[in-house]
Amino acid sequence: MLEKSPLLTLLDILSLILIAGALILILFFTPLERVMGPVQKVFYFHVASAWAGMLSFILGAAAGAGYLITRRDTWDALSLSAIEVGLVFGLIAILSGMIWAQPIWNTCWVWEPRLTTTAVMELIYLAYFILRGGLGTPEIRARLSTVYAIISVITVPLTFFSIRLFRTIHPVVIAPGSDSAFNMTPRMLTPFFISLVTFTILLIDLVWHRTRLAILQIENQKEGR
Amino acid sequence: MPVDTMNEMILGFAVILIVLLTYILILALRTRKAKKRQENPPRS
Repeated sequence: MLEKSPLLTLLDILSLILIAGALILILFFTPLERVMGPVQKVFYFHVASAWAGMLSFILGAAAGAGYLITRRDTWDALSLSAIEVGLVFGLIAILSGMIWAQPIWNTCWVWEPRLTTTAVMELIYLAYFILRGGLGTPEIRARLSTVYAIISVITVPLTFFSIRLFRTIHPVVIAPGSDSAFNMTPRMLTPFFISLVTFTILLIDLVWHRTRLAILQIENQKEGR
Repeated sequence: MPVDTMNEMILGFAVILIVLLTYILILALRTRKAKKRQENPPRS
């Protein structure tokens, strides 16, 4: 039986406190953006979830490489877990972005570079689970899906740099000196960085939990349960 | 004068929290099921 580490319990508590703290900070202590009004506050969690999603996909590829080198199931479990959690964060980023865009762009979706590359990235990682489900033996499944995870990671820099490489209506969050950059005041920067840290810790916590489940499922499968 | 987008803000945070909580709940249920399976393997 896989015992729960005290560090994971600590991470659970820390994630909960940070999410609640960040939410209170954003809702009650950040200034109102002078044009967009309250909906701009969604930005803090929108960017943080997009960041966590991309980080998770990179972790999925790195763990995939770990599996190909060592052939240990734990790496495959970590790769699978990171991709699943990344998909959840990606979904949050897309949905919150659509809600934010509706009153600001007057439409919830535009086929412009950032939104298109994000949708393609999400669909490519969704296909990872279809591929996994369609492969027979555990060893072939692990090998092919880790290769797929490594190849798919190309969509992450493509999505990240799309707003810097192409003309787009999506704002660039951090681009000092750029006209299209989001000019945040120090009172906006603090909750922004707190949200990034919060979602990074939440990502580690969720990936850890999901990896424990994946290892448990592998053990059950090996023992014919 | 900022636009009144309070409803969209509430909807945005509600969607974020609902998706997160749903995933955490599903994860907890799947883990419980896997643990049960390990403790009481189904008879074949």
